[in-house]
Amino acid sequence: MRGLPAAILLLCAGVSLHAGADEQRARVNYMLNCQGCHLPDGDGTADRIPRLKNFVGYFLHSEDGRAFLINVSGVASSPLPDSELAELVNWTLLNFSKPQLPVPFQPYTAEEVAELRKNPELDPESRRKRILAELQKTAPQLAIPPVAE
Amino acid sequence: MKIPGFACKSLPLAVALVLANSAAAQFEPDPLGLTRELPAVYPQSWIIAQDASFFHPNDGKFIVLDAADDSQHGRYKGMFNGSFVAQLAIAESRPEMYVVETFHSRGHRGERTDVLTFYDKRSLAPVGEVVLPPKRALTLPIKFSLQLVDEERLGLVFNLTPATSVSVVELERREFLGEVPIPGCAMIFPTGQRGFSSLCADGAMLTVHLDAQGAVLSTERSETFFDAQADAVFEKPAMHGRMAHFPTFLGNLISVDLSGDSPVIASPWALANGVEGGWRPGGVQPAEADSAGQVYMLMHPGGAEGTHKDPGSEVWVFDPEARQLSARIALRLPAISIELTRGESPLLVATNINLNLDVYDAGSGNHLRTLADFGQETPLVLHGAR
Ligand code: HEC
Repeated sequence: MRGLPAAILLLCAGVSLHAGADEQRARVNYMLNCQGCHLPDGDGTADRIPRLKNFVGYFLHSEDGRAFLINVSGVASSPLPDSELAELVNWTLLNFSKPQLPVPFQPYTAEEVAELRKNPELDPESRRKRILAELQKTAPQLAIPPVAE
Repeated sequence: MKIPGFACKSLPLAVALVLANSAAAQFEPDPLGLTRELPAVYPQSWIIAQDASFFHPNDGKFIVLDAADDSQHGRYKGMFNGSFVAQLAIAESRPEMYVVETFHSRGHRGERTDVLTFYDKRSLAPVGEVVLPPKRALTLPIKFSLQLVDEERLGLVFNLTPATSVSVVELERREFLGEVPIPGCAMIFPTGQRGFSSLCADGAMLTVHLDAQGAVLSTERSETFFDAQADAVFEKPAMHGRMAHFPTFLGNLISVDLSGDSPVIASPWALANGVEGGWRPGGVQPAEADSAGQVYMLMHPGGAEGTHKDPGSEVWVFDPEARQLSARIALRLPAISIELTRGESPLLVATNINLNLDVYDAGSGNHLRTLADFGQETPLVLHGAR
């Protein structure tokens, strides 16, 4: 009986960070490295800082989108080591944008992040538009909101 | 006589009246409506003190001063404005100065407009403007937020929204050309003929070359050469031509040659090598170079985590080629910013902690005079006039 609440919690969580992930560390890393710009609840600011909340998960429906999330400079150039950065991005996706994620959600690994962060994106605005326009065509069922010009 | 002695007392008055009358006869009133002009190229001893008006930044000022003049009225040459922590660049090839500034339609609020304002060096009058995307970085004044490249044909403005980019302005036609993204990187260090470099969060340098229309010709990322966590570089190098000497928080110097297409980054060396006391660089404008290429650095003892903005009690003079400390100047008062005047016998001008300007002979280190009462409040950054 004692184990029941924990089991329920796990069931409710549905998708979880990969083994060994430390949710509290990810949250604190978000506070220290990201929320100054993206704001505590991932809202961003109109037309200046993209909204993570209920949005960022869409990118994982595209291979280039998956790479893009690590290539953006705020992620690629963060001072965090690869393993903590992978943990943080996984936490960001699950915490802010779970409904938009593909099922099953495949978390980033430290190795994947290490490789991708070597190439910071030099023109994020254009690439973002390209990826989202492509997804709007190839995956209309996602009903991604229109991308602001 | 009701008042004894009146006649006697009135005598000096009578004399004075007579004298005044004859003075009036000779008095030539000053002609009114005369406007004096400043020279198109400012003398070597002039500086421009940038008063950011820290406590009410809408009202920033640039004050033109002759640092070599001992008289208060003689050294004050004029003043022009810069709204909302403006940035200044001074041309050499034409009698112009550029101020990038910000206005809001209702003063402190309302729609934001960023402009590059063109000032005539002779009249200190605004003679033109180019409206920019309202994105410029609103930071304390820093010279590397506004730079001129391509023999002063292009003006580059650093933007931070917080996505970072650079706005490009054609200065002869007074036209906005476009915007270059520099994600994760900051500041503008002129590079080669028509390019610039920026410092990136991951410790690399991003170098962008432009064509005459301001479009990107090439982009290149250097190897990482500093670690922002372990020993960050100041984003305020001492510039000598295209040589950028970057001090680091822990007190190293990294010289980067930006004269070619790609930055050539030299190995770091310790500024206070062999000197006791934990000396480190610090301040608002901590490092400058003179015309001969000597590097001057505001230094404070007992450096520790977080002291990189502390005032310096000494200015150290380095020969960056020999990697040697060549002189130490003990300041009359600790200072937050320094500048050197041009020429062979430069003056060292320092904004001291009372926010007055101390002028030293840069060669001997002797304190010569203090410039106070020129209408300043917070002269945070000093620009050697050209
Ligand atoms: C200095 C401000 C800043 C910081 C700090 C920052 N970001 Fe960003 N982020 C941006 C901006 C601006 C963009 C838009 C793309 C660009 O210009 O790089 C962005 C884009 C993104 C994107 C792509 C989403 C999209 O819709 O385009 C992700 C994911 C992201 N950031 C995550 C993070 C994470 C995680 C951190 C912390 C490690 C972080 N960011 C730190 C400003 C920031």
